[in-house]
Amino acid sequence: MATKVDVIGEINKYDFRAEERYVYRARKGLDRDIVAEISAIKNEPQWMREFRLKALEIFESKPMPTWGGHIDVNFQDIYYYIKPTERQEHSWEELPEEIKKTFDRLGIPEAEKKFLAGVKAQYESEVVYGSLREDLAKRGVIFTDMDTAVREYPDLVREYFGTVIPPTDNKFAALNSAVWSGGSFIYVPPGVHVEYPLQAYFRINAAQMGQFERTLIIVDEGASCHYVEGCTAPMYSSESLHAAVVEVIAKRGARVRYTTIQNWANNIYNLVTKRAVAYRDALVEWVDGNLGSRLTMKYPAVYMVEPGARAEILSVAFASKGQHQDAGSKVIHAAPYTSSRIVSKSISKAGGRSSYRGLVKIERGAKKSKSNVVCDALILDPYSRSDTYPYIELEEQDVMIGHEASVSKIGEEQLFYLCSRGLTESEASTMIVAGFIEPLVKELPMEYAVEMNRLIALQMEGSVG
Amino acid sequence: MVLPDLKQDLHFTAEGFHTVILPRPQPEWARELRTQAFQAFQELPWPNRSMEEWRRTELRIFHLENFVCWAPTPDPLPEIPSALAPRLETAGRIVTLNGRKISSTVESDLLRKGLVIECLEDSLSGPHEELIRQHLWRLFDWRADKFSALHAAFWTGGTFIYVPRGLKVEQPILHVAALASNQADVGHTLIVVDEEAEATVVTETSSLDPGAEGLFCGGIEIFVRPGARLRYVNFQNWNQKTFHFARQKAEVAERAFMEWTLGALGGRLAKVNQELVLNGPESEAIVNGVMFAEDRQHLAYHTRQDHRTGQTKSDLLYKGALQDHAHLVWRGMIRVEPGALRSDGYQRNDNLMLSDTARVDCIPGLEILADDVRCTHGATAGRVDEEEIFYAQTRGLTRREATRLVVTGFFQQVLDRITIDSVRDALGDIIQQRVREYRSRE
Repeated sequence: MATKVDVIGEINKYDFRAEERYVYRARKGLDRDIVAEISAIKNEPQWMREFRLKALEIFESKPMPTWGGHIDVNFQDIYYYIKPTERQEHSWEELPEEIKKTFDRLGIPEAEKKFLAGVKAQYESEVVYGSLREDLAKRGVIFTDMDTAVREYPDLVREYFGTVIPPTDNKFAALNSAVWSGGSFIYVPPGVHVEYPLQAYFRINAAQMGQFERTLIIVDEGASCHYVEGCTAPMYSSESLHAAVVEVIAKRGARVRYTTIQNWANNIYNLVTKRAVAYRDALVEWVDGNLGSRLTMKYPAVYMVEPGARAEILSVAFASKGQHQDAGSKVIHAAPYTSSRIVSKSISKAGGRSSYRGLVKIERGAKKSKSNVVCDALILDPYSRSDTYPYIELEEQDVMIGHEASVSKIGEEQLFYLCSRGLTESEASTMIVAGFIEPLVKELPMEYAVEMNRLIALQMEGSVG
Repeated sequence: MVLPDLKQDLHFTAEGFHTVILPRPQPEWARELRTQAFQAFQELPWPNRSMEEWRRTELRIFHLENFVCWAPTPDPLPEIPSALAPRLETAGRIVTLNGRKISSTVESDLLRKGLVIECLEDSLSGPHEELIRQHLWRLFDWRADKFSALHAAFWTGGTFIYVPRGLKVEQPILHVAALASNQADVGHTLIVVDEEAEATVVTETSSLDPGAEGLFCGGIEIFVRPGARLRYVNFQNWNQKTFHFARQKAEVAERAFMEWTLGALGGRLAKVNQELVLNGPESEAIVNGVMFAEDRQHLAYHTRQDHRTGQTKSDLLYKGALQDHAHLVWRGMIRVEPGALRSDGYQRNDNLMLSDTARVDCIPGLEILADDVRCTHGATAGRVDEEEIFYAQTRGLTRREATRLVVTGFFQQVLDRITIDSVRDALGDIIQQRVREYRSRE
């Protein structure tokens, strides 16, 4: 019984809320005035203001998607912009008490000391804390929030912003383009290797808050970096919306790894567009863990546009009661000698639904391209659902494509074996699930791996028997 | 029947429907259903590329107004070409032209035992009216799209095959469906294999003129009742100018078994929905697909394996080869309903691309709403392995022969699953004839 109490305490680790305090909050709703107001508060250049207003028109002209999950959001009943602090701090001590406490409870400052090269912490709409190791700054690495980047690195931003994911891409990318705030901007100069991960942490605290961060990562020729993001929010009675846009550019010979562990509260709609462009011999890796949210629709994509580019996508989705994880990966082979590998693992439990929706596209002329997709799904009870919708489109013959998927429940034999070794059925199931997602967990930084295993164990608690 | 004065061609329009289709002799219930279907046909929009199912299929080359909804059967009857007829020893045959029966035969012994091979429209008001009424349209949703509604409103002729309870028909039943130049076949096929009965049915389609346009807009409903066994082959071998829109669905009841083979070789544009419903414990089905496309053919096959109840098994294997500018689409779905425990579903699609300009889209899918299941799918695509060609060439084969050999080998896996020797051999031969020189060497 004692462990049970602990577990409840643990689940609440993310489900706590600080008092809602802010220095500025735009009124609820979405229209030209709100978009103009956000732009004015940020003191943005004219081109960005126009970009936002144009994006709003696109958003309004696009219908809601009719596929994927059920989205029930009243766009006029959301706060699009909340500014929690006057400015970004470079020391945790200078943050308002409740915000500092929030990130303390989430363990961010501690992790920063131990194993991170840089940290951004976003609270509501703005990045409230930022740091970067001095040696990296000296070598020309830029790690800042997107708003600062628009002001301080206008040329870089203007060259790449919205080029990978234009506002016309989809309705939620248009929404983000109109009201975006915060997010990370990373530039790694040619040949520089950032050895430790750069991390961003996104926290929604306020109710009926929409978070629309915008991340742009440019890794120049022969450079490398690993970016990690975590996301949480407390549980409110009404739905909130998270609609991010993430653009990644990996130039010749660059390597980028982008790791997300998303553990939003179960009433957040997580509708995110993430896409990378990989040039000659570049490698882009998405490592994607989806544990939280009511509905996630997220399909990290890699466009391989020059020969030798590679994509590796590894994802785990866990859908529990009331959740729909509609996630997957897209790889576009637009040049010869490109290769991609997708491994997707999903677990459905307690009436949850997890769907893999992916695309492998080989454009004409992308000779000698290779792609391999493996999707495995576990269903833990008779009330849950698992779907697989992989799309394969080929316009080139000289390629090697493979796709495999399987859906099953936990093997009776495996359970029996573990129980015969003295484990309870619940422990045995947890161990089997942990083994099932092992390929993802072993790619995570150590602290994240520990956290991930712990989260899975929590999700699994009481799932059998 | 008094034929209306056909001074002008009547198309698939309100005029055509009210002038020639609705007045045809038919029971009142059938007329009522036609009327409903016609209303659906008028209301439904034409499929377009914003609809997921039609996103990959370009309909602009198809013009319904080029076809008439009814034309008299020519006299004298033309000779009907068939690849299978000379090779099969049959228990009975039916030949249709433009969807309407021109001849049928049943072995006298089987006729006595109640085997029916007839024109469906003629059977509507015969001794089997009640049986037909219970089954017709039960597996066919005419509101699915405009082509389905067109079919249900305008269908004429058609084929009705009934295998009575316990009757085991050893030899295949052959249905040759022929299409004359610029004509339409909107025939409906209903097959009922009653409890514990066994049969093999082979449908072959054939164009009289290899260079003339044609339209097939048909539907097939198949009932395999408890404990029955059916082997069904649908060999689509139209010329390459024919538009083929087909919706075919089979329901396999408890302890019943179905082996369903689909050959897709012909057609300028083919859009087919092949649906399998496993509706009872210990029902099992094997689905085989052989697709070969060339020139500018567009073949789109949408398959579905529905596990309605538990302890059901389905196994689908589709293999496609394509050359020139052909475009092949396969979209498959295994659906396991809640509570359908111990379902075992499998689907696999392999594609062999023989030219640089061909295109293939393959979209397997799983929707699983039960936990104690085993459902897997696999898909592959690639070209002929140069090493295999090289090896064959070292043995003295020309490149062309070697390619033929590799393609034949590619299809062998699915051909081996066809348990009717004559059909297997005929399909193999026809594919081999159609594999031309492998043109895209580096």
